Amino acid sequence: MSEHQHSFNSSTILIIEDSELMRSLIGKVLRAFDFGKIESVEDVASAFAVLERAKTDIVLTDWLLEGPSGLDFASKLRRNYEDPLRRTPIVMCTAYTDLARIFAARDAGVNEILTKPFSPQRMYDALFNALFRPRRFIESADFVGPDRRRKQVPIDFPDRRTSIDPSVAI
Amino acid sequence: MQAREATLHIVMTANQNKEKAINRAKKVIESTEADYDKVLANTLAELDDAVRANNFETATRVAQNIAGEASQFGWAAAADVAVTLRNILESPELEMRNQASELALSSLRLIVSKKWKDESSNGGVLMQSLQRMAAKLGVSETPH
Repeated sequence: MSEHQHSFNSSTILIIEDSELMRSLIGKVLRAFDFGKIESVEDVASAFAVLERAKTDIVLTDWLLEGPSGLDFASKLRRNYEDPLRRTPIVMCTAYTDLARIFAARDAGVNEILTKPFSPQRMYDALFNALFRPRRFIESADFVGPDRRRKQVPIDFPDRRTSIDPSVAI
Repeated sequence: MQAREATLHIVMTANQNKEKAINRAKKVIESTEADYDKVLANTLAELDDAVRANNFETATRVAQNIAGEASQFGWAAAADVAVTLRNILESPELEMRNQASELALSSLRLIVSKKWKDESSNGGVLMQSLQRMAAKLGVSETPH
């Protein structure tokens, strides 16, 4: 299937957002995007309960949550869960875009970062890229998540990255 | 030739569907944004009540909500003050917490009543002064 034939209408999305207003707004925006099923929860513990009981194609989480943060969620999902759950794409919303935060999100295995105020165009593209244009999923001793390098730059030496499982090529 | 036209048709339809979806979403955001000043005023009153009742758990949650919501709806100065207030409310030093939170609340009230939305306006100057004071008291200006 070409990427132009993909649509959100067969996808299930989970929203993790502790603000009722933002939860409602994001839900309406996702309905405008024609998502097949939209679940929403207030906190990380409830998010894991949903993920464990129902198939979820993508998670959209706020960074700042009451209790464990969206970053804690991403780290736990990537590190503590088995396939295929650990590979669930994660898009994270944040109002703060300093480099340290971007790197922390990337290193926790977040697929896409959405900066507030987010535009519908930017949200659509972030969700589309995470769902339908996934980067290679890396599982190594010190990182689990989508390849942190977005560009495929040819190298003229062997790839030094290693996998936990020697049978899995990175 | 037919295959090329079919591909072109698929691409055009996909682009049109995306544009329609984005336009629907824009309307949703615009309608919520239009009423946000009233929502912010009500949320601020809730925050005020919680701080006065020494209900710091609720106050922290409400300040955090303001931070997330205000940053989405263009009230950058209110969002930044709310983050500072949230950090102040988590401080274990009671006296400092009370004084600094009162100052942050006053700043928020001023920002809301004067509609100082972004950081280039007086809201930004107010927020910077508050953050300088909070830093002196050992409170971080960014979210944890």
